[in-house]
Formats: sequence, C-alpha cells, structure tokens
Amino acid sequence: MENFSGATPYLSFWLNDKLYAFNISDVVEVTDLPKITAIPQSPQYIKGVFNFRGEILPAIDVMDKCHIICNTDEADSAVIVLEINRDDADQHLTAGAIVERVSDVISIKPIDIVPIHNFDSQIDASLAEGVYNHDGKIVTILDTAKILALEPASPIGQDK
Amino acid sequence: MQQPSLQQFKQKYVEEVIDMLNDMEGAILTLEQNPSSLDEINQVFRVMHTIKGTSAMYDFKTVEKITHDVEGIYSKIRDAQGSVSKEVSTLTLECVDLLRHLLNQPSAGDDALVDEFLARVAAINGGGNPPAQQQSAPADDDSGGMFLLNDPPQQNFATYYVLFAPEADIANRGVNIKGILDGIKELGENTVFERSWPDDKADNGKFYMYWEAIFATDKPFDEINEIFLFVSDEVKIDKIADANLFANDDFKEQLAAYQLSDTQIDTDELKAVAMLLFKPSEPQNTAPVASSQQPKTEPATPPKVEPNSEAEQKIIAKHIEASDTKNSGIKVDSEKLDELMNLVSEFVNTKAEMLLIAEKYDIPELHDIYEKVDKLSNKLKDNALSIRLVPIESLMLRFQRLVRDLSRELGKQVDFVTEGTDTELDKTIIDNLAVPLMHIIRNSIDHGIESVERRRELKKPDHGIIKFTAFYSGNNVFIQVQDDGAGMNPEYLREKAIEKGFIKATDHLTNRQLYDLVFLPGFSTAQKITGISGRGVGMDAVRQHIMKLRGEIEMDSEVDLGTITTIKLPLTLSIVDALLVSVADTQLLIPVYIIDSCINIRRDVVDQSHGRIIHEGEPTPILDLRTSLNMGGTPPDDCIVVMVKYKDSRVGLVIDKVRGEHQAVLKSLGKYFSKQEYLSGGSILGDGSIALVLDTNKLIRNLQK
Repeated sequence: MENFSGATPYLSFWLNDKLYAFNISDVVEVTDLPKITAIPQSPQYIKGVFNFRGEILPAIDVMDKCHIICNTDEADSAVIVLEINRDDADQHLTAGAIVERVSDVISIKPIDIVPIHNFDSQIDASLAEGVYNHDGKIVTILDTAKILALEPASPIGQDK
Repeated sequence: MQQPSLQQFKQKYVEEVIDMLNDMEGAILTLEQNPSSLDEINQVFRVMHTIKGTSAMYDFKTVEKITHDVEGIYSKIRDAQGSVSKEVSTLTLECVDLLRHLLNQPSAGDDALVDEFLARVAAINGGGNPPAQQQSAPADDDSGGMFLLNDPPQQNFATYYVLFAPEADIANRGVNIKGILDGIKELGENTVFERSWPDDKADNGKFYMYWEAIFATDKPFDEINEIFLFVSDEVKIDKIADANLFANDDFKEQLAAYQLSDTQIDTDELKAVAMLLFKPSEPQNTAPVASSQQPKTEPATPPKVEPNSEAEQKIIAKHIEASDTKNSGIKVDSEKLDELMNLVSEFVNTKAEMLLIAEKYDIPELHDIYEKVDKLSNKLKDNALSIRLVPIESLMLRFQRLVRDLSRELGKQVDFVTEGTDTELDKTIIDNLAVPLMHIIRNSIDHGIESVERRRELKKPDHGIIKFTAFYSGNNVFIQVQDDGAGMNPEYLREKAIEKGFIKATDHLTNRQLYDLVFLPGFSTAQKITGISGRGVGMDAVRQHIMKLRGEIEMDSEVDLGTITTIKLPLTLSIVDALLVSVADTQLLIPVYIIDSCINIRRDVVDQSHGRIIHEGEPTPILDLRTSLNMGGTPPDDCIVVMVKYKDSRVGLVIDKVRGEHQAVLKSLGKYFSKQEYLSGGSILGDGSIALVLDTNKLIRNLQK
C-alpha cells in the first residue's frame, strides 16, 4: 500500500486524548460501536463479540490491550474491523478494535517513524511500531499483528 | 478460445479418469476376495478400455499404452473365463496408483517407472497370448483408440433413440457438439433431428438447441456411451428395437413425419411403432433387415426372438441403469455448497426478523406469510443440509486399501469388516475424518493385530478382524473401530505414564482414565517405532482432529481380546435446534436434543437448595448459570430450571427466562475463544443480536470439578 513517494496511509484514531494509528491495509471497515455480547471467561481485553454482517467477531478493547489508563469521560464510539494474514488460514485473524473516535487517514513515510522505548511511552512499547510527529501531534503507530495476537501481549523477543 | 477450452477439457478428463480408477480400485479389492467374479473382471476391463479411448483423444500416450496392456490381461481372463490371480490384482492396483500419479503429478522419472511396469505386464501377458493382436495394437491404434480391438463376436443390430439436450453452458465447456453428432453418425444408419426449444421452454437452463437421433448399429452399448462421455448428464439413450429399423420403409416414413414435426419424439410411441412393424407374424418385414445390413449370414428367424431379446433387454437395461445411477449425481464444488449453506443460514435469520416485525406491528397477514416462509425455509434447510450429507461409505475404499497394503507389508492377515457404512455425515466432517480414522486403523493393524504365530499361540483364528461400525444415535453419529488384537495393558500404560511424568506413582486411575492417557501429547506406547506408527504424536493428533469436529473420542480395551475406539460426532456442524433462554443480559441457546424438561422454580428455593433439588422424586443437581458464569445482575423472583441430559442422569440449569425456540445457525466464536470451555459457538438472532450456544456437557463437567 505504498504510493510513489514511499508513504503508507494510516488510519488514525483517538484514545484517551491521544492519537494512535493502524496501517490502513489491515483495516477492513470502520463501524459505529455495535451491541457487544460479553463472553464469560474470556481475557479482560476482549469485551465480547459482535455481529459484523452476519459474522461473529471478537471486540478488542485497544485501551485495555495496551494497558492505557483511561482518564477521560469520552465514551467509545467506533469499532475498526481489522484483518491480518487473510490468505493463511492458520495465521488469519480478524477482530474489531474498540476506539473512542476515528480521526483521519494520514500518509507516513517509514523513515519518519521513530521507535519508542518503554520508559518514555505511555504504552507497552512492544505493541507499537513507533511514533510519528504529525504536525506537532504525536501519533503512536500500533502493530496490528500484536494487537490482534491471541495471547496477552508478550514481551519483545518472546513472540512465537 | 481453443486453448483454454482444451485445457478445461483435459481437466475434466483427468477428473473422470480418477473417478473411474476409484471405482475400479473397489472392483479389484472385490476380485481379491472372489477372483472369478465376472462383473468385476468386466468392470476392470471396461474402465481400462474407456480410459484407453479417452487418453488417446487427449494424447496421453503413456496412459493409453498402460491401460491397453492391462486391458489385454483382463480380456484374456474374461475370454478364458478364468480368475484373477493375486499377482494380477496386485499389478492392477499398482496400475491404479501409477495412473493416478501420471495424471496428477507427472514428473521426469516417470518413464522408467512406466517401462518397468509395462515389462511386468508383458511378462504376465506373455504366455499364451495371441501376440499379433495384443502387442502390435498400439501402433495401429492411432485412429483414436476408441474402438475395441478385440470386439466380442458380432452383435445383433439394434435401433436406438438418443435425446441430447445440452446445458446452456455447453459452449463454454469446450464440448465439441459436432464431434458428438458425427460420432452418432459413424455408428450406423441414422437420422438426426435438429430442434430448438419452444418459447415456453426457452428458459429451462438448457442450450437453445437440442438434438434427437435415431440410429441402428451393431456396436456394443459401451461404445455408444463413449461418444457421450463428457455430456453423459445431458443425454438419454433408449433402445427402440433389437433390429435395424432403417431397413423398413414404413419406419423411414415415420421418421420423415418426425422430421417435419417440431416437437420432441415420444419414445413410447416410437417403440409402439417398432413393435407394430416387427410383429412376429410378419416375418417378411424382418427378413430384409438381417440381410441388408449384416454381411454375415444371419439365421432367417426374425431377430426379435422373445427369450433372447428379453435377456438382452435386461442387459441393456442394466447398462442404462448403471449409467443412470452414475449420472444421477453431479459433482459440485464444495465451495458452492458452503455458499448455499451460508445463504440458507442468512435466510433463516431473515425469517426470524420477519416474525419480529409481524409481532411488533401485529399484522396477521404478515404472520400468515411468515408461517409459509417458515415451512419453506425448513424444507430448504433440510434439503441444503442433506446435500452436504455423504454416506461414510465413501471413505471405506481407502481404508480397505490401507488394510490390504499394510497387512501385507507387516506380514499379518487382517480382514476388514464394515457395518452401517450408509450412515450419512456432513461432507466437511467426512473429509476431516479420513486422516484420524486412517491413524486408528493403522494402529490397530500395527499394534493391535498380532502376528499369525502369536495368534496361533493364543488360539485365535489366523485372520485378525478389524471391524468398522457406524450408526446414528440421537443427533450424533457414532463410529467404532474394533480389532481383535492384543489390546492395551492398563498396567503397562500406567508404568509408562509414571515414567514419563504424566501421573504420579500414587495416583489412582481407573482403566478408562488410563486408556485416556494415550491421547496425551507425547505419550507413545509403541515398544518399537515402525515406519507406520508409534511416533508419539498419533493419538494426540487424532483427538485434536476429532475435537475440531466437535466430536469426542474414547478407547476401551481388554488384554488379548482387542481394542475398541469410539468416536462420537455431531451430524452436521451448521444448524442446531435450540431453546433460547436468557440469564441477566446474556442470551443463551441450549440444544433441544439435550433438554429433558423445563420447570418453574422460585428464586429462594434455588438459593436454599445447596445445589440439589428433588425432581420427579430424585435428587437432581442444579447449576445456577448466573453465578457459575459470573453474569451479575439481580435474579428475578421466578426462575426456570432447564433439565438437561448429562451422561446417564440429569442436571438442572437455572436460568431467568425462556424466550422460545430458535434454529441456531452455528457460527464459530473464532480463535480468540478457543480456550472457552462452555460454549460451542454463537448464533445470530433475528434482531441481529448474538446468542451463545451452550455446550452443556463441557459446562457441567467443568463446573462439577
């Protein structure tokens, strides 16, 4: 999904007054927050399942998954449906990511993405590809595969 | 245009040949039991012959050569009314494998394989072979190889009617219509009628034209069938008479009349005409028939001698029947079936939506329509489901072959007995069963059945038996594989488990629990590892497979008596009739087949029950789903207990409310909930919300721990 200038489009969204983004090639669709059915005994960050055009998809609370402590009153309003490894049945994963509000699509050159370190970031650094300075605002670029990963976030280097 | 269609054509050819080979494999295995069975000898001969013909058409020279030579063997056996030796049957099975290989993944080294194989065929064929005919044949066989080289002695003439009504897509399939018509014309004297469908039938999904042909030929029926090999579903062949009707002027007049009319010929009428023309009382009519077409001196008696023709009619009828049964099925891409199932599921959901509207706005008319739609959708659903159901028989051939090959390799004598193979299961389940069942059967042969010497020591018959049984029970299908071999020694399992650290020496396990240990990953009990089994991944993988199909597997064994493996499977994976209930905000579905009864109960009774109530005079355990599943919320004063069957008894599940019945189209909850132990899936309700399907067995088992 690179255009001629080498930039890749990302979908940015708000969580707890901060901007985050997913690579748009992983995004299937953005929908209003659907009714979510809780599943007993599932991991904390999975809020339940929802009906996505006849398909049952899990809803991942990105805030929970990234261990972001929420201090705003803003309610979640949207779900970004993500999908990875479409062609590989074993690795294929699809789920909805619950976010507060979708912002817009921004083009980012890979070279402009700066790695982050645990000590200077608010979130688990292993879940992010890096940060990007978007007109003075920091956008944290999340690693879709790690957000969708089945196990609770694992430290760097211990991925299976 | 020509290139891709030829490609498609070849693809179809390969599929057809593979199908034929599968059938033939079955015939060979039967021949091993009954070496002189004429039906099977003929079948092998026919298959070889047909493959030879079509292979020549598509320039598969090697395949043509192989089938030609093998056909030679069978033609000799048939002519001599002999029997098929073990050597020949083994060779034929190898031929099946070789052909499959050549068609599926031909590779560079094949020539050597083929030459080696052909040399062995030649060795068998060698002996008292009429060599000139057999060996030189392929050279002068470039006419297309369609025709029998060693035709059975002249057959009598017969007149046939053929209706060839191609499907609309015939042009895209690259079928050469002209070639088919030419094929008919080559058979003998003929009249072909070219017709188009009348306007009121124009939309019948057929090609806009169809053909009718009447021809007289002395060629065997198989040869006629070969012309229509690729359009067999679109052709109807009917025998009109056992004589050449074209020799009769009255008949020709009748044909002219048909030519003028634009409607389809009524074959019954045609037969009646033929009967009329060939009444035995008018021998002068038939006399010219025999002499006009057949150079040989025919007996002067009319060809329509009753007993003879009746017998022949029977044979033809059998052929037609055989080709009918073969043609009554069509091959459908399984993706199309999945799509159909999805559509039906969506339809069932939409139907529920309709009911909601009807009730919400209280429209009686809509309600009536809903009921009709409901009936139709139920039929549609059953129908769509039944399409997916395949008899388990389709797996048997593979297993028979496996048992045969393996037992030979291991020098054991094993009989494979099957029962209930007409039991039907969802295609997806059947497809996924092959691997685990193969494993189980392998284990039985490798570890179960003892060597002949050992069996004699134990005073068992030389032949070990592996019995495969399938049967229905409720909404489940049970499959059992039983052998009369050595069995598993629970003590040995126990030692092994302790040694490997799966259990402690102090643990007390029942035999059943000990047998369950073999399903643990890494628990291999094989005392020696053979190439066939005993790598310690076996039974673990088997259980994984079965669990993916929502099935259960269990083993039971008795030392020196044998082992029995039982697999319990759901009939289908897609739709379950369920009771829709709610607990707090959560909607749950409980499969109807597992429900015994529902009773009202007051909340305070539940609270003071200590997990047990008296139901129908018996103390029955109850589980409060609200607390067990941490649903929260305030329970209503009146609750419902849904009594569900659990093992041999009942367990009550306390819920808030029963909402009605629902045909749950089961959907997987996905990988995120694979560790989830209480639910077997989810289902989308008419209003778009999701209800969770309870797996009561697992739920109760887990909560009672």
